[in-house]
Amino acid sequence: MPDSIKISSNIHAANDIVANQNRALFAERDIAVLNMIGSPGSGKTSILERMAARWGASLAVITGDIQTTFDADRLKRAGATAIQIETGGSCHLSAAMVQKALSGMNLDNKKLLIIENVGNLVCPAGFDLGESQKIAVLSVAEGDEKPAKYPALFTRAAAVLINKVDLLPYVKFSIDRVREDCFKLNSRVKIFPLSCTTGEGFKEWMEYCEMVESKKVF
Amino acid sequence: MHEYGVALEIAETALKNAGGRRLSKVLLRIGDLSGVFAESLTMYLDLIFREKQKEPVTIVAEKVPARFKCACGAAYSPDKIFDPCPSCGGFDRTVIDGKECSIESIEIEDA
Ligand SMILES: Nc1nc2c(ncn2[C@@H]2O[C@H](COP(=O)(O)OP(=O)(O)O)[C@@H](O)[C@H]2O)c(=O)[nH]1
Ligand SMILES: [Mg+2]
Ligand SMILES: [Zn+2]
Repeated sequence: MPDSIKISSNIHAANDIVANQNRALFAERDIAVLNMIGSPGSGKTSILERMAARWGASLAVITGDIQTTFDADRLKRAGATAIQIETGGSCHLSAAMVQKALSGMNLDNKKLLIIENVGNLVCPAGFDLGESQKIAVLSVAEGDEKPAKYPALFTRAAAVLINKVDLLPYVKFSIDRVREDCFKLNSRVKIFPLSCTTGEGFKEWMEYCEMVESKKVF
Repeated sequence: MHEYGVALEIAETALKNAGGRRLSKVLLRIGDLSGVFAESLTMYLDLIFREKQKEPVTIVAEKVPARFKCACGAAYSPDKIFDPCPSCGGFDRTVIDGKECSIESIEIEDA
């Protein structure tokens, strides 16, 4: 007869422990943290560049890509305090990668940290990094059925940024459909149509970030 | 996509708990909303265990359906994730079950 051993251990437990250590550090330093998740090319870095113009070096950014420091370089040029994680192949950031990056970042006088996750609508949604909120980024050229096809992210995201609305005349995309589907997955979600090209929607989006920063929304 | 990493973690936990004895079975619970695809996970685990010990390990992945609790108080398992609450037709819900990805138990035998 084989012996049976009860384990009942959550596989994500190891990641969750480190995520909670990150969360404790953010609380101690009074920093609000957004985990930004979207497909490659949806415009995550472009959105952060526009935000850097408003926040300057007080905006801290950790960017995750499989290879290159291109995005951190872009954001430093835009004025933000940025650090790059090269995952070397991993399709998502883990809490431990963020913890390591934080050890090389000066958090003095920072109130808002945005983590640009690896471009991917799927895997990053499942890994807590210690953030205050997850933010989904979807651009109009990707199609309006994506929340329905990738519900895990859109169920967990506090806000959805619909980027590249300047391209709406050229693509078939219904913002109403996205709104409807997102509300079904999370009735408290906030939706922000944006364009990095024209600057449309950034006033509202940055006001939201200020509310997150001053802990008026969690 | 990331099932290989998850499989490595499960294998490590299982082998550590086996404490050097032969692992014969691993029982997992994988929720519909966990973001982990049970079939790929099982495939990777099988490959990993084959490298670690001669005898194969039986891997059983019990799937846990999504279960929501609606703001109106009703609890329900939707057929599709977009199904509204059957009691009130609303969407203001929290997840009760379906996010789990856990190793429940293992069976070990003397080598
Ligand atoms: N037309 C248009 N293009 C945009 C917009 N935002 C980003 N892009 C372009 O989309 C491409 C990918 O942007 P990037 O910020 O690197 O996306 P990321 O991979 O999500 O970080 C670049 O060529 C950007 O210039 C937008 O609002 N409108
Ligand atoms: Mg980028
Ligand atoms: Zn209801």
